[in-house]
Amino acid sequence: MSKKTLTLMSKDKQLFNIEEHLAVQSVTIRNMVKEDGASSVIPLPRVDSETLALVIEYLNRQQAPEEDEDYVKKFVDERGEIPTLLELAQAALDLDIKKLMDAACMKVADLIKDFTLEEVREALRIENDRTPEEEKAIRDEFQWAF
Amino acid sequence: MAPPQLQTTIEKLPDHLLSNILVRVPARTLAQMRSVSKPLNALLSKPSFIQSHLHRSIETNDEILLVFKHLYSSEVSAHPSTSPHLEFPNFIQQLPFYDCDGPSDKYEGHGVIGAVNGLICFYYLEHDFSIQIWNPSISALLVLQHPCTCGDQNKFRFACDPYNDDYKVVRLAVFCERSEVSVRVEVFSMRKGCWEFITERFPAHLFIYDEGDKVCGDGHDGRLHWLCFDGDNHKIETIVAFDLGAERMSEIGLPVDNTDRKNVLGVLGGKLCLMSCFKDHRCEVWLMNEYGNVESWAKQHVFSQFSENGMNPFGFTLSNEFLFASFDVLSMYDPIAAKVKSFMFKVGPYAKFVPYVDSLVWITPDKRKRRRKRCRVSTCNSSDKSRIVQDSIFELAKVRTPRGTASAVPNFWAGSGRVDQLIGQFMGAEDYLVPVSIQIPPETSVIISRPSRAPSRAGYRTLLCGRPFHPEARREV
Repeated sequence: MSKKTLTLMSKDKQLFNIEEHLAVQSVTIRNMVKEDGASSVIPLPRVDSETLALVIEYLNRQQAPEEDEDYVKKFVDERGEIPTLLELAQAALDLDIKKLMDAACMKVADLIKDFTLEEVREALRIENDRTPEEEKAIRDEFQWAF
Repeated sequence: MAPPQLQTTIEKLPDHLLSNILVRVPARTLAQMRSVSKPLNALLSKPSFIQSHLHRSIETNDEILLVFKHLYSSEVSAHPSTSPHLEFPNFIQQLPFYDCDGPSDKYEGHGVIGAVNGLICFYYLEHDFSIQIWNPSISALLVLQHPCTCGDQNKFRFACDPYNDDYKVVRLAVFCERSEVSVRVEVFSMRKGCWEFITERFPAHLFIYDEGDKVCGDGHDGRLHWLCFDGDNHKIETIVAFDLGAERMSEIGLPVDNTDRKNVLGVLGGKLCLMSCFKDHRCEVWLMNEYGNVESWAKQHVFSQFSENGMNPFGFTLSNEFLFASFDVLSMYDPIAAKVKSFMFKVGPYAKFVPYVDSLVWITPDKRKRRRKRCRVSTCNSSDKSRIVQDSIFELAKVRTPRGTASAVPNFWAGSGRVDQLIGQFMGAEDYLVPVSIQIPPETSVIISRPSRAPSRAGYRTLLCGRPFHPEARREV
């Protein structure tokens, strides 16, 4: 019996095939399959093709359950760039793939932990909305933290 | 010409993603990140975020146990519960000093009252005593004002009140008059920022047998428990429970006839547990499976393997390991793996143990509510300083301070830093200068039964303790 294949479409309209029994590790896809059989293409309008390729690589892994923890850790470690990790974490959140989301978020958290405030802003794409005076006031108030 | 466009803003990360990442960052780093931006500060200050951070921190706890070896010492040692013979150097060197200049010659020591969700409540002895609440993860410190009056004996406990999202210190003030004993209950709420007597009284015929709660496991679910004995018949023991949300006392019966046993209360896996030890040091552990139902007590473990050495049970840690002293040497027992681990040092009967929890939990008094707060002055009988004759309530509107910050005075005893003058008729028994400006009706004599501290140091002060706390120390081992 041939295994059923699903087609996922990224934000930039690239198509990816994946076997259904692997794709349903994503709770979001599982629910879609349940609802309408998902015979056609499943669009993922928030995930770009590079990230989707990574997600597919992860879903296609052939790991024994006891090695899975180590695998997912290594998987995100190899993609140590924060922008890539953020995309991966966002995709894992959207698709509801818990282990991948956990590992990607944990990796980002580990990286930003030792950053300066400016580096945190850059990494998490946050604009500095405080005036230098305000910043000084906060530093004075929370001087124990600096 | 139109002003040049600001550089195109990059697409912001959704809050959902941000909070999923930040919940995995240590509390101390998050405290610093508050100044990254206003929206991030708002996200980090959300009660729901603080709760998720706390739950994650408790769940993924690579448990570190803080050991306070002596009653009158600020010495704290930190040990990984996986290999407790190791010690993290400089993890927490000592409890924070009230005055950042360090201890004065009057310093007599610290003692832990309780610990919940990363907050540690302790008392501080220096000529007088004061009570402080401390979050070592974010180095926040709250020095409580004095309770209204002093009992002949005070018993303090610390607990979380999940119903009101608050943390409270409960004081049982024992007043002895001739042969009459009465126990009043006073509660300090972090949210209200003040002490208040409640109408509920501690059962008068019961005496607290043991302060218990060596592992600081009680008070997480909004209830406190004391093991008590009946004053008429020393043999009958019972548990008095206090529900912080409802402010109600109740009694819970023990599972076994306790003749010739030594009982210690504790918490195991979130359930009330009783460690009942025989003279031969065999120890039974009973769990109350359904809270409040005496029928639901069930025997969970029997520890007889330590009996040859004799043992002193302390309770269970967050990871359900049993802590005890055998020949005074502190040890830990994992009942599932049946493994004993020793700490390689001795502890006395007054040692306290606090599971360290990385936590952002901190409560500052609610400003909106504070404005409506009233002040209370206790007027006392001059012959019997400890007894309240009358409680007078003053509207906060009457509180005027020379520097004009009425809102900084949540109640009479607060004596917050900016208040330094007294208006009104006060007759201080020992000429205490009361650091509060308050309008007192003429001819009211007020006896201050506890000295207040000098204005500059008095009252509560938050977030000022810069005592070294090194998260890096954890990695050194």
